[in-house]
Amino acid sequence: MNFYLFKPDASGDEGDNTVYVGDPKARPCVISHLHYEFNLWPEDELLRSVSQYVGTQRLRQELEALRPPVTGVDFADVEISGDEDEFERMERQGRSDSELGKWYWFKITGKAGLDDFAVAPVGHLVISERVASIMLEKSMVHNPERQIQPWQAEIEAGRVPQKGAPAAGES
Amino acid sequence: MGTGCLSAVRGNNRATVAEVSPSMADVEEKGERRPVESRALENQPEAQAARVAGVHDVKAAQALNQNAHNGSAGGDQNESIELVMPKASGGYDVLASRIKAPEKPEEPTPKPKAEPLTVDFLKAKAQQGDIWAKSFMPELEQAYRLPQGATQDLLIGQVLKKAEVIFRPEDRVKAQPEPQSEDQSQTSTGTIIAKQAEKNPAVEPVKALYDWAYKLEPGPQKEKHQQLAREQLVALEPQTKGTLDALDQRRQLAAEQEDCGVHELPRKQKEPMQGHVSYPDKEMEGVRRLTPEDFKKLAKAMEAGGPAAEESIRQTTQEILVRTGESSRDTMLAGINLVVGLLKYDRDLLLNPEQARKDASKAGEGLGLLLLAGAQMSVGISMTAEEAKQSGDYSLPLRRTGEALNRWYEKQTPADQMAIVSEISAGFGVAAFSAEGNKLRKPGAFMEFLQEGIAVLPRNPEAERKALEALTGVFKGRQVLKEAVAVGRVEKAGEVVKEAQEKGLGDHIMAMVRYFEHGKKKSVAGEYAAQKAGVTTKQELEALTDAQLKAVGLERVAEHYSDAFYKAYPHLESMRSKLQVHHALPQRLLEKKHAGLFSAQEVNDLKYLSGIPNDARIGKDRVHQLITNSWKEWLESNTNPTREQVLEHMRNLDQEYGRFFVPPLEKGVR
Repeated sequence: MNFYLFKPDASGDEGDNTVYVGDPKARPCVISHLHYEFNLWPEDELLRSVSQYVGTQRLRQELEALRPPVTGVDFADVEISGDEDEFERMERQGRSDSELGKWYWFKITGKAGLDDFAVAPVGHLVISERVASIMLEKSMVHNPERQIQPWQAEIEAGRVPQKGAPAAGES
Repeated sequence: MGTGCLSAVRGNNRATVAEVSPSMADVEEKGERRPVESRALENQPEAQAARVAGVHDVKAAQALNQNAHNGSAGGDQNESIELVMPKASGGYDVLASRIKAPEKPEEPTPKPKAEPLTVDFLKAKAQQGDIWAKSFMPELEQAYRLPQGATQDLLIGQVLKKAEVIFRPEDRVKAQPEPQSEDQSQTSTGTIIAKQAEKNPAVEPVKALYDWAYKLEPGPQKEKHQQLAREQLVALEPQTKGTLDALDQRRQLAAEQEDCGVHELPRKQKEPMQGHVSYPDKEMEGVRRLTPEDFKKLAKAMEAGGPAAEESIRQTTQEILVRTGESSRDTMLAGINLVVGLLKYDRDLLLNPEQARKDASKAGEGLGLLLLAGAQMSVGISMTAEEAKQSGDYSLPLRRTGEALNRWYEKQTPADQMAIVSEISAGFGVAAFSAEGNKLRKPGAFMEFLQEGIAVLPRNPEAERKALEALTGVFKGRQVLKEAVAVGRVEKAGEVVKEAQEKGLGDHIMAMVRYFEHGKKKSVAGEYAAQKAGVTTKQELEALTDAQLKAVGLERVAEHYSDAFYKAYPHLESMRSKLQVHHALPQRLLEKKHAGLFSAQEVNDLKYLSGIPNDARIGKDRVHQLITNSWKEWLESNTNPTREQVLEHMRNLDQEYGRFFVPPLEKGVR
């Protein structure tokens, strides 16, 4: 299976109600409650803050329908809101929070080149071809030319590049 | 053939100027002589022969005429009489003749064709500041965010259908710009900028700057801003430099010609009939046709603020227009515009005094009209909703305007008060309220006086016109509503806060001083800050120095960053709805994980604020989004940055995206 580098847009940030467990600067940082505060109206269905990811209900449903089951991501609830500054003044344009749709916290847990989802440097993601296909076919990304690119595996110490290797569960 | 007679040349009645120039006396003399000549001719043998000539003889004689006309002598009728000037070189010039150009059937003047209402039309109107067009923009933008297809088309179609109610075909024709030649776009800096703004949305703020500067009084300030606009245009569109240089050269040439004695013709008077107030029947009638319910709905719509207000006003307008019918559409719109303008002024008195100051003159005129139209202003706490319903309350809640007017009046010296009252009384055709001098010095008396005066005004156009002149003379001439902004602002500060807290006017709270708690990117409530600082009142909190606040983990920021930005760039006020105020230093830097790196005052400092047009895009990506993405990626890989590293990344972004900023920026400017 091929893998792709996905560059999610950052349409928001971790809000005040986010609960960090330990040092927020730690990588990975541990969060027990994610509050995603939008500061730009979202154009995509999979977004990031600095270190966390959120996706729409529609994307979650598409992923959960995959067989074999999607790997490298866990879904959890997320609190969402819009910031009181430019989002409220410019971006919202009279639209209610409900028009943002239902969002979920996408906890990325996979290994690049093995799982459907994995974290790459600077907060990008490595996604499998089947995930990339869903996002393209369902128009979940506004600028796929920029955001989805072929992934070049990097050789890590003590690890063989996994690009092209079958995903977990695949024969 | 002697001079003084028309001379037939080449068989034609062609006369030289010298022959016809003698006075009419010749004509009279000729008239007297004609019978003698006629009688003499009758006796000639040739005449006898001619009288008895047959048809063939006549035709043979006519055939000898080489320049025959189709008159009695044959030939072309149009050449039968000509006035000619002999030339030195021989021959002659025809100066006048009876030749008339063949009459063509008059073609009807083609009427400008009304194009179907388009998105471009709405956008153009919105850019011109039309509030109705602006109110459709959010819906259109929403539609355009959808993928192209049937749903998008449907939504756009719905918006255009709604807009049809407001914009009739005639309006669209009227709104069509005059065709301009290419050359005309090069005749002034303004047109060059405007033309570029049509192509590149990032130039729109530059256009706003130029337009704003254009209205300034001539002087160094005006030149400075106009020059700045030119520089910004060249920064965004470098190819325009050549055009601007060429324009300068043309102007220089023209100036030199002027020095050589070429003088400009006197300009057409721009401001006709200073001091005369026209009687705007349409506005007056429009206001009169609005029902108390309409007033309430419009006022309520304005309370919403921002785009929601525009949308709400648009809906209310549509309802009114549908109810009143097409025939009175223009009248109703004129009335609604007047009311909405006053409501906006009233709101701006509280939330945007600078804008209120700008609109003061127009509001003054509108206020006079409104009062004369019979509407009243709710100055104080008015009747209950039920009472209003029963009495058909025609009041417009311009409470702040009314209060500001009263306060302005109370600020005047007794002599000025007397002069003001006399001026208005004279216009109303009633004796000055001299006997009630004491009453007129009581607080709140001015509005009462106005409304009472208007109540006794005879309802005929002439009386109303005079009254309107008097009111306009006071409101505009004395710049009442302009001064009222300052009076109202200073004295009402306490109430303003109270009102904002009661009504939850978010905008308004933002206009106040803000307090930031260390480690948090958002400001905290005044009450919380006071509690944290160990004081009990707002005044005590305000009295604390920055050092005292710092000691308790607080920081004071003088005003909301958005206010600071627009105060510094007033020419961008008209762009508010199109411009995001961007923090070049992300507010996230104020969070605990970066605590101490930058202060809230720095992050919100004007130096680190830039406007980014909403529609500024690079390909499919919003510029603001690309900058935000860049910061997220950078902070993810720089979890412990230094101040200098942060500033360097900011400068790199300035270099990459600064051309989209308003004002444009280059790397190293900050």
